[in-house]
Amino acid sequence: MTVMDSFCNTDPYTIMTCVQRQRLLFSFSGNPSSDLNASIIDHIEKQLRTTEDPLRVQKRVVNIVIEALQNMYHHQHPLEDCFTGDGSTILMVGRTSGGYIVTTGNYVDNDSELSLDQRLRELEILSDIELRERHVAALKSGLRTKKGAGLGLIEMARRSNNNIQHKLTKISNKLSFFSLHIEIKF
Amino acid sequence: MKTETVEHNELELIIKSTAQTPLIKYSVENSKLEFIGRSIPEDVAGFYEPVMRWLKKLALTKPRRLKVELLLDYVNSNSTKAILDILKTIEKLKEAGTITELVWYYEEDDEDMMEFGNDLLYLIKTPVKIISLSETSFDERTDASKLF
Repeated sequence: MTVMDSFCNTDPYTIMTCVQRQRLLFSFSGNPSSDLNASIIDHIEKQLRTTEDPLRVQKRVVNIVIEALQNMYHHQHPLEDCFTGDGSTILMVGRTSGGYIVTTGNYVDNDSELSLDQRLRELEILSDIELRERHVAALKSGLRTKKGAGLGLIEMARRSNNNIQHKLTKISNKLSFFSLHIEIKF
Repeated sequence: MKTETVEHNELELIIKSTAQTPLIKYSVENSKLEFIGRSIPEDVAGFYEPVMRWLKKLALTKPRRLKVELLLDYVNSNSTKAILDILKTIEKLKEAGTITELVWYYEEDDEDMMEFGNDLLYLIKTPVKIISLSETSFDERTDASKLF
């Protein structure tokens, strides 16, 4: 059965109840663009403003979404055989009893997989203070590349108190799927 | 060597705010440079390049004083670096004799933006005043910036 068959055979009510059960506030799959990113950020921000959740948490969620979208925008990978066009990505924002979850996924070159994995593993073991020091040091050193400096990853780790998990799933000799699971606690 | 001269009225600066970029405004009358709104563009270098160019023009006039106010609700990671570059350029003005004042405003309860202001203190030599604004005052000023 193809993905399309599976999609067509799924009752929308089943999808709807699943979305509600998971308290999914927002989900997106496709190709990020500058205009689309702005609309997504605006939409999520407005949704969060309607909640009673602390401003600190709301802003952290939006900040993480901003970084995640821009990370995917700059690193989207062309997929020739994907019906959604080049560089398919996914973003989901959900609410739990303990906070918010931001999940992202995008394809990456296997060449960049190692450095990405290494950078995230290095960040994962840092305390909040060490993360802040790493961030300030990165800014001080003028660390920057055309597509960003890895500053976005440090920023996301800081804003989530390092509640960030990543996974790389090898798809082919050329590609892996890079997933991030970020938790923002109340 | 050709010396470039800059008339005072050439120094007026207004870059209108958008959904992703802040209002950037310089008033010759009060020697005040303001950044109001949010700085989350994808092309950070392209957005801030005219500001860096304008700062070089300002430096030629050897201004006696300069007040810089930053009132931002969201700043993406690449903008952080660009803003830091701008503040470092302003530091050079200070070293050349300009009396400079930097003010970083944040919305009360937004601990991350307060921390950002404190991080700036580590990164630049010029003292930064860090001021908390109530949600209402903060929103009023950011909303007003959208009128430009």
